[in-house]
Amino acid sequence: MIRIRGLTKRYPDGAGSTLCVLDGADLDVAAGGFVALMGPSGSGKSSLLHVLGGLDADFTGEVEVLGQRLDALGDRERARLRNAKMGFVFQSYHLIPTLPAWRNVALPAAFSPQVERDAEARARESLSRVGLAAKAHRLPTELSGGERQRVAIARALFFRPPLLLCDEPTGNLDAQSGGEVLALFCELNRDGVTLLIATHEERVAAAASRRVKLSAGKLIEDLSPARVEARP
Amino acid sequence: MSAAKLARLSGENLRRDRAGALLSALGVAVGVGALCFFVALGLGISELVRTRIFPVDARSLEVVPAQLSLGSLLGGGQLDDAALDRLRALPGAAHAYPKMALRVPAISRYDGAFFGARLNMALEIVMLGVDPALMADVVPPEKFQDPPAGQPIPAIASTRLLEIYNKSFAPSRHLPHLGPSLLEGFRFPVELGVSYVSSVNLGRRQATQVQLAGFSDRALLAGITVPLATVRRFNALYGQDATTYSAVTLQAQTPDGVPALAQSVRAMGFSIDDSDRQRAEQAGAAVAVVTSALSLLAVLICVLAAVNIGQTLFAALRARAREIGVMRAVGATRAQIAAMVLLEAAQVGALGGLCGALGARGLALGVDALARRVLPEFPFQPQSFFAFPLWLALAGLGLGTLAAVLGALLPARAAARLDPARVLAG
Repeated sequence: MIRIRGLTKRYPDGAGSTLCVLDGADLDVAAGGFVALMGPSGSGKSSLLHVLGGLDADFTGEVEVLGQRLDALGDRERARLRNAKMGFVFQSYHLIPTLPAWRNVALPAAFSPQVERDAEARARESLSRVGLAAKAHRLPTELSGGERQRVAIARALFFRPPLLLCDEPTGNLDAQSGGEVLALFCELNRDGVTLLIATHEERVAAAASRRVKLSAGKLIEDLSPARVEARP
Repeated sequence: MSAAKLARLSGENLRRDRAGALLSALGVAVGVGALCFFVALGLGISELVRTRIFPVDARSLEVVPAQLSLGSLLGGGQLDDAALDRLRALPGAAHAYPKMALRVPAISRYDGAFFGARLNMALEIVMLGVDPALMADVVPPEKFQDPPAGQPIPAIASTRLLEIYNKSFAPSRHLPHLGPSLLEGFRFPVELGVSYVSSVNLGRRQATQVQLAGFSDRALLAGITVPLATVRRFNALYGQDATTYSAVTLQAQTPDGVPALAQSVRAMGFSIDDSDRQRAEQAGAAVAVVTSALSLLAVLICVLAAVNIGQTLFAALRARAREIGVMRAVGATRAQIAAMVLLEAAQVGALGGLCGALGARGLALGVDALARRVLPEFPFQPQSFFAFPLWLALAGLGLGTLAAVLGALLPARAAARLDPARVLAG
């Protein structure tokens, strides 16, 4: 599903030099995996997700996602891959406030070569999957934080992608809402969706089948005894 | 992604900021409206000049003897029957209609009833004889012939002369407004061999009657047009030249053939009297210059509107940066983002262009109505000062759209280049 070799990502630091957040990182994620990406703020978790999602093409190294070398794809091909085979979930939901829930969920259809005729039905189905079918016509401002995040997840699931990239998806939620969202992720993973979740939260990491830490620009598998014992 | 999907998405984006979109459209509407208004005014005035003030037949040439030519010095270059036959035989010539001026002074004295008023008038008469076929569309040739003795001479007057009488002469002298049909059949006396302005004495005077038979743009403006045979008879009666023509109206088979025909005519040693055409062109050029200057002003307004749209879109993009980032995350390409922004601008521009074109039409109707109420009557007063062909409305719509799209080019480029990773992480 995901194969990374020697991934290096640098940012200009504003002082004429560069800051290296990923320094020759390697990672393999098999289909159906549930990986928690851990690390302190600024360690490069979001950067890694953006590279994997094809939102950031300014990197060196080999990155293969869903059988496609991202460094060899153009903007159009990366966009097509994101549209059809990946879903993004963000900490701040990033819903369009003036559109009802179902229109937010159906947003990927606007950029798809497929006909949009069944977009509403598909959006409702996606909302049903996250338990929000009854609130399809509510505006984001009429929903709670947990509900907004579930709408964002429904949007990510619109085209039933095999891969979800989630950046601190429970970071803005209270314990109960966060728990509901996490339960939803576990359910999706059981249905075969591969999950890569950047998180600070231990309970999210605990739910994942793998825990990968970002340290000094490298991706290190967490093989702590407790973790190893817990592995299937 | 289809254009329909993009248009729908752009429309939704516009609806979210209705006030901003309407203000931007208003700017375009003002520019396009001003442009349509001024161009329509220019077209209307040009049409008035071309069709009523200086009507010019695009197929016709007025052939006259050369003022100075070797041929004329040697006795050639005359417009006689032989020359007429040669003109008729020119390639591209369809018809040649000879004209002969009355070479005898003539006056008219009228003192009597005139359509419910009393008219006491004396004036010098200028008379031009023409081939009846030239006026066939006004008077049937069999009715436009040299009359037998005692019968009035059929005459055709200028439509423009009637206009000047109705709008200028009649009001100032409390005379009635007259239409062509009312005047047809009106008789007035003409005396040949006498003049108010010249002391020439031709030895004899001859009184006759003239009867108006119709009105035409091709008739002599300041005089009357009568059958050629009548003028030929009068000229012969007074021992004047009754064989050479003053001019020949030469009609080309097609308007495109006129330049070549004119060249052939000049090669024969004749001149072309295109003073009417030149006057029409000069008037048209003056109208075009004024229209162009005003249109330039309107185009500048459109440019300002385009700049305003650009600024508005830049501001909107700053507010919508994350939204665009989300669109990129769910599969939008850079090109789709740019197209979406351009489509938003195009919709604003099209709305502004449509409103501008309709507004200009409404304003023109208002100006025409006001002119009818406020302005005194004057010759060649048109029903409308404006001409609004369909292409003008479509051009307004297109210009509005184009101006908006051009104004949106930089914002669209900026939107397409937004780094989704940065805006979504922020």
